[in-house]
Amino acid sequence: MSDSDIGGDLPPLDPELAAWLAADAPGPMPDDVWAGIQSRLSDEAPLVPAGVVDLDSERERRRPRRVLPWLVGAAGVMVVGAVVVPSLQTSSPAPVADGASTAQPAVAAAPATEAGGAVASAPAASPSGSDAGDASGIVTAIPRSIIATGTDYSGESLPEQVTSLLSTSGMVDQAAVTAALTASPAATTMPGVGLSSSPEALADCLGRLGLPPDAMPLVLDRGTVNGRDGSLIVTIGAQDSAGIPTALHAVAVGQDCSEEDVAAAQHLDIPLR
Amino acid sequence: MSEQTGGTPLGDSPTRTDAELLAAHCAGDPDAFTEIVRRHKDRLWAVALRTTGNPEEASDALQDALISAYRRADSFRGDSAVTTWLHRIVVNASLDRLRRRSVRTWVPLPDEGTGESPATLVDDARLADPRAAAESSETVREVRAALDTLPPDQRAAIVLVDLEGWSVEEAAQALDCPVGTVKSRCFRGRAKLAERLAHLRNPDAPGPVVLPDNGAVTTDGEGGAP
Repeated sequence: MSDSDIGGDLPPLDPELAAWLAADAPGPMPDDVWAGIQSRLSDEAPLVPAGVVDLDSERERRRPRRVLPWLVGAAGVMVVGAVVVPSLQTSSPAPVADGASTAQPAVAAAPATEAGGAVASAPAASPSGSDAGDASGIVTAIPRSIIATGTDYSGESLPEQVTSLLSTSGMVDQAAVTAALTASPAATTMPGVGLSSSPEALADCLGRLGLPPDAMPLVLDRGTVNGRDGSLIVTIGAQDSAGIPTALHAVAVGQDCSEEDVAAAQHLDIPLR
Repeated sequence: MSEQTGGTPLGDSPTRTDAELLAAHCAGDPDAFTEIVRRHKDRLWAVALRTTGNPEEASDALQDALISAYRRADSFRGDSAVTTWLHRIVVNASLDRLRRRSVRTWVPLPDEGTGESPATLVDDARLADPRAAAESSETVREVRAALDTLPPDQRAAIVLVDLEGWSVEEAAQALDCPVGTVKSRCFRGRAKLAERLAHLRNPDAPGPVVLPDNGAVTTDGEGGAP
C-alpha cells in the first residue's frame, strides 16, 4: 500500500479509537532502564569543549596514520561546537516563581524568547466558593487533542515538559493555537477515569482549579503528576479583544481532581507570540 | 546533578533550560546531558516502547539513541526544541530495530492476574470494579495486538501523532518524509486499527470511523477526506 501524499488537514482521531489507544499508557520509564541509560552515559567521555585542545590529542595528531579517526572526530566537535554553543546561550530565561525552571517555546534561537518564557503561576480566580469556578460556564470542555504520553509531570521539570509537549504538538504561536481552536474537538466522548472520564468531569475539574469559563481545553495528556496518576491540561490562558489567544495555561493535576489534587496542582502560564 | 557551568546567568534559579544544558554538554559539562534525559525520560520511553512494541527492544533502542545523541550533540542546530531533536533520534533508532525484525513476535504479556510488566501500567490499579479492570486489561491487550500488525512506518506515525500528540509537521520532520505522507500513514493506520478493534466498539458511542473510497479515515460529520 502506498504512502502517497494526501492534502488537507488530518481529521480528528475517532473518539473510541482515541480511548483505546489512551488506555495503553506506557507509564514512567522503569528504574532498571533508567539505571542502564545512566550507566552507559556515565561511561561516555565528556565532549571536548570548543577551543580547548587536549595535549595528548595534539601529540597524537602528529602521528596521522594512527590517529586519523580521532583527529576527524575531535575536529568536528571543535568546529561545530564553536558554532552551536554561542547560539544556544543567547537567550535569557524568564524569571519563574517558586523556583521552578524556565522554558522557552521551541528553542533559544526563537526570536521572541523574551516574551516566550513559561511562568509558573496560579489562576487568579479562587477555586473555592459558590460562584468561583462555576464549571457550568465551561460549555465545551472537550480537548482538541487527547493523548497519553506517560509523562510524569513534576516540579521543576514542568516548564520543560510542557514546552516539549507544545513544541511537538505544533502549538508554539498564536496562529497555531488559533488553528487548533478552529478544529473540531477530538471527541464528543472522552476516555479514561476521573477528570478525563467525560466532558462534564473535565469542566468540573477546570472550574475547581479556578480556571475561567472560557478556558478552552486544547490538550489533555494522561500520565502522572509527581508519580501519581494524573493529567496535564493545556487551556487557553488569555485572549486579546479580538479573541486571539495571547497565552496558554497548563495545569498538572491528579486524576481524581479531588480537593487534595486541586491544592497540589501545578500551574504554568505560557505567553504566546 | 549538574551545576551551572558558564551558561546564561539565571539569578537564584539553579535550573537551566534544555538548550542551555545541551550547550553545557557541548562545552564539556559531564552531567548536563543526563539532566536533559532525566527531564524527558518518561516520554522518550513511551515513544520507544510504543514504536518497538517490546520493552527490551525499547530499552536497547533508547540506549543506542541516547549514546548517539550524546556523541553528536554538536549536530543540533537549534531549529527545533532540544527534546524534539532527541525524540527524532529515539524514533529513528526504534524504527531501525523494528525494520530489522524480519518476523514480528508478539509482545509477552503478564500472566492473567499476576500483575503487570513494566510496560503495562494501565488503568487497572485505578479501577475499583474488577470487571472494568478486566475489560481495560483486555482492551490494552487488543490495542497492542492491533498496533503490532501495523507496518513500522504507519505505526510510527500513529505513535507520534495520535499517541504522543505531535503535529503532523513535527512528525514529518522526525520521520524524514513529507507531511502528506504522515497524514496518509495515519489515515491508513487508523483504518486498520479501527477495523481490527471494531469488536470493542460501543454501539452507542458517536463518531464511528468510516472508510471512504480514498482510504482516508474520517469521523462522522467530517465529510470525508480532503
